[in-house]
Amino acid sequence: MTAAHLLGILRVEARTIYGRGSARLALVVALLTGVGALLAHQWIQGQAASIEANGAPVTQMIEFSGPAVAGWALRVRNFFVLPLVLLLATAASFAGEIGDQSLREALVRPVPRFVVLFSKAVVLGSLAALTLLASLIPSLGGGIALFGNEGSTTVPAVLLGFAASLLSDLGLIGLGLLASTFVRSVGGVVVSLILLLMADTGLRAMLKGMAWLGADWAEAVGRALPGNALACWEGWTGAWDPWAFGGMAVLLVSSYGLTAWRFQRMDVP
Amino acid sequence: MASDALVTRGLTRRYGGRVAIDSLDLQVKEGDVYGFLGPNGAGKTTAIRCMLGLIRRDGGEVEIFGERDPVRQRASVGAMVETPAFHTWLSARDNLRRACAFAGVGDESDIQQALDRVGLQGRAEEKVSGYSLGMRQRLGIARALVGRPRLLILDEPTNGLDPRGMREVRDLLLDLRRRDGLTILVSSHLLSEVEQLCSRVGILERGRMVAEGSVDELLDRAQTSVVEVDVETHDTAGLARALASIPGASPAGEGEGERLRLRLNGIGPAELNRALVNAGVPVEALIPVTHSLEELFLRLTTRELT
Repeated sequence: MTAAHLLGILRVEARTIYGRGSARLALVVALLTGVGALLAHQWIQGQAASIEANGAPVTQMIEFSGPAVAGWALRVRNFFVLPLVLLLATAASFAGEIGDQSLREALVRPVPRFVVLFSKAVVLGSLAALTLLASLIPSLGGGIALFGNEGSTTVPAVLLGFAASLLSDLGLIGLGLLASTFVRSVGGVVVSLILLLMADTGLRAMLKGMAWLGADWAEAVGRALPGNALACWEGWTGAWDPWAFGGMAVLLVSSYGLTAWRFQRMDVP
Repeated sequence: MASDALVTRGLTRRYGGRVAIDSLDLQVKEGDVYGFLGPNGAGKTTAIRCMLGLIRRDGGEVEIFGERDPVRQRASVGAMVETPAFHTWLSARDNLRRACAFAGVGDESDIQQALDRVGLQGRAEEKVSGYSLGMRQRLGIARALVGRPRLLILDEPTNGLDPRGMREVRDLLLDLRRRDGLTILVSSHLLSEVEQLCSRVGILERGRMVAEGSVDELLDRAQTSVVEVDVETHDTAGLARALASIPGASPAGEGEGERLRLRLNGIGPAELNRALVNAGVPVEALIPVTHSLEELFLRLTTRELT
């Protein structure tokens, strides 16, 4: 397998994945979060200057700066819809291709299966990175142009938040690929992972409650769950959780490793 | 002497307790058009998937042009398994570009040539979602052709094609063999077509190879194992009476008008004729029945089923 062969595969895989509706939707949603956060801040600044709360203008409770707008864009981007669309794109490119048998075409060619998987993971990772840029550029660039760069939120902090979000996305893509080796249908992958993450959230809440009641071990167990790893980006406001990054490392290695192991051995219809 | 293009030795695949492919030994010589026959569920597609590494095998080995490494051996293969699936939001040309990229060889001229070969050159920029079943089948063959294969493995390539399309595919395959020297393994239910197209044939039944050889060899085998003749006489009652005293000759059917088909075992058509004449039956015609590959196929596979 030569570098030119691999590059050729990456190029056509990118054309295929970016040609899907789910990838286009992800980019549009990401762009909307960036532009939306900017426009919302501008509207609030213009419309709500005269509104007071507890004797102070509402606008004083909101930070108006480029990094703050980007921070809002990041929060909105990572709230449910975009991770869901990324998951949809992942499931469509792997489980969907197993289900509709179009993956077979790649596998009858002289390419090891891990290369097929690798090419999908790289392109999906690039899609995640592009959605982050689509949120970051209009929100940070437009925010600095409109509101300046002064405030408690700094550019490096928000950039670290976006970088950590890429890790979260890669973890989510890894879970989607792994689920695709079991479920083999787009809807099945998305629904099973939503149920898994809902169960994870419920379990972490329960463990948090137990920790509050005095069970010290419960907090440690809760931090080791995959949901905590996927939320590693939330530390950008100043409190990074090393447990979340440790969990993310485990999640990345185990999800991609297990996917490669299962894919190597599975029958493809 | 032609070297081996594809060889399987003891190829075995089980699903739970059921044996889908049972120690399959198959040999396709370079330059062959090999017909892979068998009734539904015989294991043809499973065997092809095993050969291509799409599904695990529980035993045996596959060798393609002497290469045993499962990834490297696919460098010389172009394949179409069952109904071809495509990325339907891409154009036909982009789907072929994908195939080219995964094959690691070939360029735009190969793609154009493949499109020309299957008559899709004018529709290459259209999205595959707008293609009919027949067009997809042709595109599947074009996709198998890119990547400069030496061996084509085509599973039911005429599925979904009208009679004209089937004939075009048949002509195309013969042309590929003649002009490009490709070796072709083609599975099909259309036995008369296989008879016209293939130089060698393997008949699969319940995962086992029940007959393999050139079409002529198999037909000879069909002729020599059991001989059937049609006897024409206006004295059908006399013929029926005479048959009772001729050992080795028995009716092979109900008969039609003045014609009765007889099955012969241990007696030749000349001896039968002599015996009938001696018995006073006025034989007007005695016609040896020529067996088609289809009849052999049905006989072999029916025997296995009963």
